[in-house]
Amino acid sequence: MGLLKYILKRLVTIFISLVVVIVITYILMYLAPGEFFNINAFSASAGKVSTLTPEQLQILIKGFEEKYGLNVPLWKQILNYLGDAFRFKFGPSFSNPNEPIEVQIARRFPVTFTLAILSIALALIIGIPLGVISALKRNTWIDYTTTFVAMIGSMFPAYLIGVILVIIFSIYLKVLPTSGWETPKQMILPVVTVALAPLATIARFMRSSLLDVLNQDYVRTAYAKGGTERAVIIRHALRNSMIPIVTIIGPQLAILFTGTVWIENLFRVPGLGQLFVNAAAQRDYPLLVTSTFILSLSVMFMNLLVDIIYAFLDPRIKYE
Amino acid sequence: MYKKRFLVLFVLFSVLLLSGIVNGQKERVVSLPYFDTPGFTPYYWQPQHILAQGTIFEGLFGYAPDPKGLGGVKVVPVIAQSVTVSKDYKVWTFKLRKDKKWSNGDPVTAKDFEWSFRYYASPKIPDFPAWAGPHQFIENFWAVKSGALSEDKLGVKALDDYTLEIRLSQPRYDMKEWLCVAQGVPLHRKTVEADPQNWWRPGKIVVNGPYIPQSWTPGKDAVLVKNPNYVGERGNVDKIVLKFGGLGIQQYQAGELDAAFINTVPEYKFVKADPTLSKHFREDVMDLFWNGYQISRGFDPLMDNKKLRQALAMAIDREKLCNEVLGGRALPLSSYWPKGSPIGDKMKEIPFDVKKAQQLLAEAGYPGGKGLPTLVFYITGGGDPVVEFIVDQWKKNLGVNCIIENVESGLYWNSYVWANFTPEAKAGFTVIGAPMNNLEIGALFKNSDHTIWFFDYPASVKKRLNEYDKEYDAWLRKEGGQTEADWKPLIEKRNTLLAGFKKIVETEPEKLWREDLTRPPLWYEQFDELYEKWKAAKTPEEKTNYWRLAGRVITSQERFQVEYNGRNPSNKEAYRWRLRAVNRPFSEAVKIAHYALQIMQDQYWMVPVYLAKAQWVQNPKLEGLMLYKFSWGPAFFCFKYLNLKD
Repeated sequence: MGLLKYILKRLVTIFISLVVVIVITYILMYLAPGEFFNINAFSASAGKVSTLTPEQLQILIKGFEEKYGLNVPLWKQILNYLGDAFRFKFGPSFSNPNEPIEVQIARRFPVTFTLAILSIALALIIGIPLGVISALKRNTWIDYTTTFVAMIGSMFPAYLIGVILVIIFSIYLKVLPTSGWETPKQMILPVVTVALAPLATIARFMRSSLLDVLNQDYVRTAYAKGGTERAVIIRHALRNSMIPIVTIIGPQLAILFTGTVWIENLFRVPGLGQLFVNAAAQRDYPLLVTSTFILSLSVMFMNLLVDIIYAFLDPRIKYE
Repeated sequence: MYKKRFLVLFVLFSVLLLSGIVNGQKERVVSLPYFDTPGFTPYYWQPQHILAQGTIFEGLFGYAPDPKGLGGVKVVPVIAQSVTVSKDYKVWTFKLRKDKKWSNGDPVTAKDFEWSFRYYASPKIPDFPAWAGPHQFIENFWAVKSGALSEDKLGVKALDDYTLEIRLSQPRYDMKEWLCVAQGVPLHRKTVEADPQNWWRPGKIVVNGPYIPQSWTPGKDAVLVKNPNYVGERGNVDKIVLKFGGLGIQQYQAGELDAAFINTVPEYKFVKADPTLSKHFREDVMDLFWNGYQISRGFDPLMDNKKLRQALAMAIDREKLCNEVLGGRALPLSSYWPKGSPIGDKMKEIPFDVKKAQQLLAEAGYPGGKGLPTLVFYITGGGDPVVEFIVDQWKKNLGVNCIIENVESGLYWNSYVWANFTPEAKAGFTVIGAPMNNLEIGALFKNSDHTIWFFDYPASVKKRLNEYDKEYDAWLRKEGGQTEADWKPLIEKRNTLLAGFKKIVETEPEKLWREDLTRPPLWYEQFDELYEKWKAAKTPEEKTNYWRLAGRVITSQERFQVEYNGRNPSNKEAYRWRLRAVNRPFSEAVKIAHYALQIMQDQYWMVPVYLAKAQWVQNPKLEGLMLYKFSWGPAFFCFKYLNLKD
């Protein structure tokens, strides 16, 4: 019952936070230099349009504003947007007047979701054991090697690693395709590329967290009670050292859910990343505010999920 | 038992069918790089408009390869069989071929064009980018678009199933060229009416071009397959996979693409050094563009100094830029059209002459750069080596200080570069890559005619024009117009302006310009009409509305007179030559376009610097790949000529 009440309370907070985020985003968009309505927004260069008379240009602008609901005062635009957004109706974007944003998102989200989950899963499956081995074999060549690999993973940008992987596996070894997102074979390179950075982070966190836990009194007590190393680590140390990992996975996943633009473009993965990044680059306001909405929503929900998982991992945590 | 046998046979047959054995031939598939495409509606100014030009749709006229033609193309009749045009170039009558079909087998008729053009003009597509197509010139288009007139009043009529008449609001000598663009294609009425939101989706779309969209995954690819009902010339390719994004050259190396663009100097060097790729290398000059810089036109009168602008333009070593900075991926360009083109051959080039530039700078009042305030070169993104080179040249050769200022990309492209006039801009520059959008006559000026519209005025005039623009918009929200007293100042202005207008019309030496100015509806007639309507208006809202519209007419005329009288003499002269060019057939316009271009170039508001090359690698078995050199290019287009050799 405590959990349900807690979730409800959090949902109300999420709702209020989202409203605040949207209002701030809208106001910032209007305060940004340059016209909110710009000639390019209806995909016309002013140079060409300049050959039209002011009246003709006015007709185009009027039509454009009607289509995107810009012909009402700002406060009304925000209210209209909020009313639609909580029903997941976002209207068309400037860069794609052909279809509503929700249709674009619905098509792309499953792809991004799959890529995110597979990458995080891979990062966990490899990162956690690496971190554990590093901690247990502290200051040995094994520790140095895993630390070095983790450093490489977090040092180099994923885009560069992706290119290197393509050159090795697609061009020289000819064992994997360069891009695409249909067959499991096509998914290997993008998943590995996206997984590398979180993998490195997880391994490093796992190592320090486990070392921290191994120095705790209760671990010493477990050993003193005659527990084998394996039993003590798996039963006592691991569970507690997982808490920081959960903390970093939440936001990592939230960010991955909104797409990884470089990787998607590199491997032609039809996910959300390109959509949202282009929104900012092209000043596609409807898409920009929607991407902010979606990103905020996923971060807030992931944080909620993390808090719930916390309590399962650590019984001392109570829902307040 | 029988069921099992049947199943086995069925599977075997399917496998054989798929492998092409039953057909007796292997499916010919070509994979090409393409822009991430947001749909297949032909009329938006987006990547799909390139596809609409001869691949998935066709219009009355289209492009065919012509190595000697502008942009490597020529205009040929496609659905049109013949055309007749009235003496005043306002009524165009097209006879259509009778054998053209839609992909569902329906015949393509003049009624399809009539319906489609009315659909484009209707308020049903409120954000229709009319500037990008021929519709803006069709009689009553704007009245229909605004909802003032019904669609059947548009000047497009199917005289019978295979005769189409288009009436224009003004003479146009280049309708054939205009009708090649994406907005010149017809849509399949039944499909669009059945599902106005989704008719363009693969599976639903009915096209009249040689290929039909079979699938579409934004961010990944689009697949086009042969239209079995297509009648007309085409190659042997069965399926075209357009791949969005990815590592082009590496995809090509892995055999996943049949062509790939080279985008950087390191890529170019890599391709040239590779024994296989170097054999597949191709390049062509993007000669429908010019790349360079333009003055950032704000209110600062500093750049009104022609000698200063000229000195800067002459102090850039374009040769060195192309070889050292652009790694041989560009050619030096000293005039809007390059030498070797029919227009460029008649134009004078801006010389690289440091001594002369220094002398001009001294004559401009800044010997050795002394006394000249620091200028600003606006850029966007992560640095621009071309701009860094130019700024360095000015420093070294002239002693001129210029700082580089980075502007957020949305603001930069929408306000600084293509808005062409940015009140907040400091004295200085922005880059510009100016292309032709299509083969219409006005595009021969490659946006350098922005010199006429935006640059070639004294700063004080720009300031006043900006005030009028604000005033014009403010009239939409002004309160009043209920009494005669509100009209009094407007009527007084009308009378004063009329005298000014008559003087302009009497003294303007160019007949074409005079005709343009006196083409109905005349501004004062519109004003008088609004005044009469106001008198008859029943409600306060109506009264206010007529008064506001009349106020806008007056402001618009005030602005025009300030603009006309405020143009620099070179501006007026260039504009007259421009009018002479656009008022004759395309082939004739090409012969005289250089007059306007030269006058504009000699003002140095917009300065050409280099010409980019399109470079790519291509499967040696692939023939008929056409390069799209218009704006949005380089890209490949018009896939109907593709052939894949065995």
